[in-house]
Amino acid sequence: MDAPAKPSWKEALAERMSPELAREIDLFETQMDLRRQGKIDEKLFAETRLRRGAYGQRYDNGRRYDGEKTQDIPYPETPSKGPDTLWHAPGMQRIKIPFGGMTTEQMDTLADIAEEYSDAILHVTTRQDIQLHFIHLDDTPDMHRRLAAVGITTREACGNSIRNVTACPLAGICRDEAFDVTPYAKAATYFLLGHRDTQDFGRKFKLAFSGCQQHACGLAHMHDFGCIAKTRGVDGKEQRGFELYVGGGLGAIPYQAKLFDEFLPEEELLPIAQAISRVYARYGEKKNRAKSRIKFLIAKQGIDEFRRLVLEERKLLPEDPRWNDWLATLHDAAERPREQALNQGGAGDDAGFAQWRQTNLYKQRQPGFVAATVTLPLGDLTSQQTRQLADICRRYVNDTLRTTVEQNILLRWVHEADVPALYRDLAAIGLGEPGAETIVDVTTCPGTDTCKLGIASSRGLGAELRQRLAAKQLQYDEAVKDLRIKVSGCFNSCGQHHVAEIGFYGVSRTLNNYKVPHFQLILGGEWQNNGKEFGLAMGAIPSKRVPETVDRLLDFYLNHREKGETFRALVTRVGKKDIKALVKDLTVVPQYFEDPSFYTDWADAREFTLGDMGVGECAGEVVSATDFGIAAAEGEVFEAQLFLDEGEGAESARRAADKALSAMVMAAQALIKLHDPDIANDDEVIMREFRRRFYDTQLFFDPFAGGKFAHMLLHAYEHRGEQPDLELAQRRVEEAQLFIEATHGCYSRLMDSGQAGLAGGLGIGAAAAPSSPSSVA
Amino acid sequence: MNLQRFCVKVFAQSSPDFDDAKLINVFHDWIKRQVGLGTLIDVADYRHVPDGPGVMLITHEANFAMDHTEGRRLGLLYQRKTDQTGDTAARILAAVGQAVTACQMLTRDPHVRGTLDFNAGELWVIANDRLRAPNTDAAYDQLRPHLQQVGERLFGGHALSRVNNDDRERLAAQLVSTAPVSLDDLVAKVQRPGA
Repeated sequence: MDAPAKPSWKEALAERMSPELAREIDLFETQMDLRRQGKIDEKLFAETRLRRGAYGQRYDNGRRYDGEKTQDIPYPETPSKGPDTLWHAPGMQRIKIPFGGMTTEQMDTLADIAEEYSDAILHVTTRQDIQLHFIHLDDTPDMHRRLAAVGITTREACGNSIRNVTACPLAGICRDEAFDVTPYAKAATYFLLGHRDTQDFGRKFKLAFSGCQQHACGLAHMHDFGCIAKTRGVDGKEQRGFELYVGGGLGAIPYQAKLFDEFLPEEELLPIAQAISRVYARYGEKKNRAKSRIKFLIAKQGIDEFRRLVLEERKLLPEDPRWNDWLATLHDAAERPREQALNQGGAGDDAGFAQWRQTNLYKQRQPGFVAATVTLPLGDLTSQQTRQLADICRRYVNDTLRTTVEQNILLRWVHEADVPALYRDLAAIGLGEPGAETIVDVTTCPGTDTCKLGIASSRGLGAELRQRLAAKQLQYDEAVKDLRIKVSGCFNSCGQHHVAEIGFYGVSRTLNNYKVPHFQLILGGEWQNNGKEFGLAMGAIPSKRVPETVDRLLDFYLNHREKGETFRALVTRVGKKDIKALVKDLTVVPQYFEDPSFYTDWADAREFTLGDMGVGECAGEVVSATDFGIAAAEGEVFEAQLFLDEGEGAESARRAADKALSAMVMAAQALIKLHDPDIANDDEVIMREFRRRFYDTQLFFDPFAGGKFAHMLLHAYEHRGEQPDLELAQRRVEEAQLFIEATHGCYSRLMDSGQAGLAGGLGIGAAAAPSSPSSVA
Repeated sequence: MNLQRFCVKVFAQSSPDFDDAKLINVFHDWIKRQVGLGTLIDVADYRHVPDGPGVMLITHEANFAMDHTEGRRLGLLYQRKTDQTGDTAARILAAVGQAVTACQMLTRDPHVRGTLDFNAGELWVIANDRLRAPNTDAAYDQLRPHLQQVGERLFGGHALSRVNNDDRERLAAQLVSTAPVSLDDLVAKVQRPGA
């Protein structure tokens, strides 16, 4: 009865894909077949898959905690698609959108594949990519072909490769830029994509382009390779180039990028990128992933030695015409607006128009044109909205749109006269929300929704904060509106929490044998100036009290700021000690029987990692010596931060670094107390015992990060006598905070597995409760 | 027409007391109990997306959502993601079966009971495969006999029409029963052997 199957997508799209892309996808499909037959090692296949942007996703090991116990998910049996990653488990597809530039045809295709293979939701990431979730791996080759047919490759969207090249979404229309960086970002993308010198990295490598110093759009200071556009006069002519920064990055420990060159001429952009790639591939760490980013190589070698190696390498590179041939047609790709407006303008009669116009429009440097930001809550829009938005783009602006690092979409080259009509059309498809790139526009990573590394629900919290802040946004003045809130589900900073004025990352605390979702509060970061200043941890807040914490911080800012004072300046002036005191009462967690909602994360119904532990009736009144020890370590690391605030002198740096090391040693000692309650207050003994009991046994190793956090302590202790500079001291404080988080994690794992008292010593519950037993922060 | 993947939408009326946040509890509970809707995996919360899919239950085989997108009306949307057995009509019936069973479970679930009601007499069937079923007259003509077979089976007297949507959207058809039909009756019909 059924007719023979129609041609496959491979056949249907053969004429529309470039032969190279088609070949790559065929090869990937072959590798999938080989892996199904067990002829490719799972680790090799995992990296192959990742380099096509096909990620794993939460629960892909076939296990899921249901609030009471961990259940097996009965996926059909097949080979794994990576270590502890089941073939049929849903995964995520990351789709690179170089410099955020999308066409309407590409949007239509993205909408289609999201409907057919995903959940009909497109998610814009903090690096201008698009992500689709809950994808079956078997669908990915056809999905890649459909993308290839509209000029999109997913190659090197993940894995140890050059990731999506990002750029300021205002490039070309910005009032403050030196010049349009778009063609440079594009040239770098396609020169480095699949280049033989970028295939042997130990970790990922990220490039970003910014047109100016002062704004955040390009975030050049937090990238492996960050370019800020500059011009200079040479023989009476304007020469273009870049202030080039290298070795920046967020991640667990944020690193400020180092200045590589004050002015890199445009013709040297690609050769230097290639030379840096070769040096990174040759000298970068390969075995220890935790130390493999280029920032560690540069920190280890020093920027001067790194620069010397790169410039030596540059001299050895064989000449490549691709370095500069694109410069001859640099201006050909410039965007063209629609010739005429469709409308006569007008005031706009919709209730929300005035508010939307105030927050979502940017006046281009080209007279008569504006750029309109389409606010996407948490970066999400439906397939249907995507198609409708593509139609709106066709109507008003041609193919001149960009995704943004704040998880929105920017429509460029809107005639001012079309603005009221554009708003009406956007509002009609549910995309007329105001508040773009303001405090309401909370940015988050996927967190526990889909990420395997997520600790707490960043999206759940983000949605809650958005809702609450939106209701109040009319009360806020410009200074408050300009603040950013960014949330990550763990310390890995995909939500870019370090560069927000108010940042959060997910952590877990154990209280009376229950796990409680928390968020570490990060204050003092700066979004402007290309994300130049990083914030520092202030202490963990129970997840359910984060909205109240934000309210209190904003009220404090509104009531205590001096004229023209920024939020960051206020935090610096008042000092972290007083700010911490301001929110101290909010760190208290009610007992489970008083309010169990604290023990469940946002947008979840399950108790937060309750595990298989039994809970005694009196458990709520017992706090272990380990709990006390870790809490004391947290106090110690906070004092280290205060030293950092004292000034920029060598003495402050030394005291902060010493205090940070002390905090780590205290946390290690707290953990050792699970085995040996009489562990001496002697650093040498503590270090020896920590190494013996927790490092050599790998008990301290994080399930995902391995020995990374233990190495932080061991390294810091080994270098304890050295005089740190301020940057190293700051890093040491960050490391101490992470080490303490890892201590919490290890403690939880030991409790869950019943290994908390291995040596027959004190287990848990020996110490008396403090007067305020519910506070664990 | 070798179509494997179908979506089905069952439209709903909700009372003012309906709180879609409670679907989070409902779906987590279903996962915990692994109720018979396939291999249940996770819950995705998209309530922040205007006119979006709301709260979604992710299974290995399909997604279930109380969706506002398809047809611009609230309803349970079943989106098949894996291949099925049987002929085309059997695959559509299987998708309808999963959808209406989920609807019935929702109406009985203590978290939302009394706040949701489904119109079992109207179904949308969407071909979730633009390669084999583009949104064209020719593809609809190929699919129509299978849809009529399903309509006969479920409703007896029924009206079948093609949904007039954007041609970039998926091929969709509307099946409307000419006589009133309850959700329980519909569930019973699709669960009967040979369905």
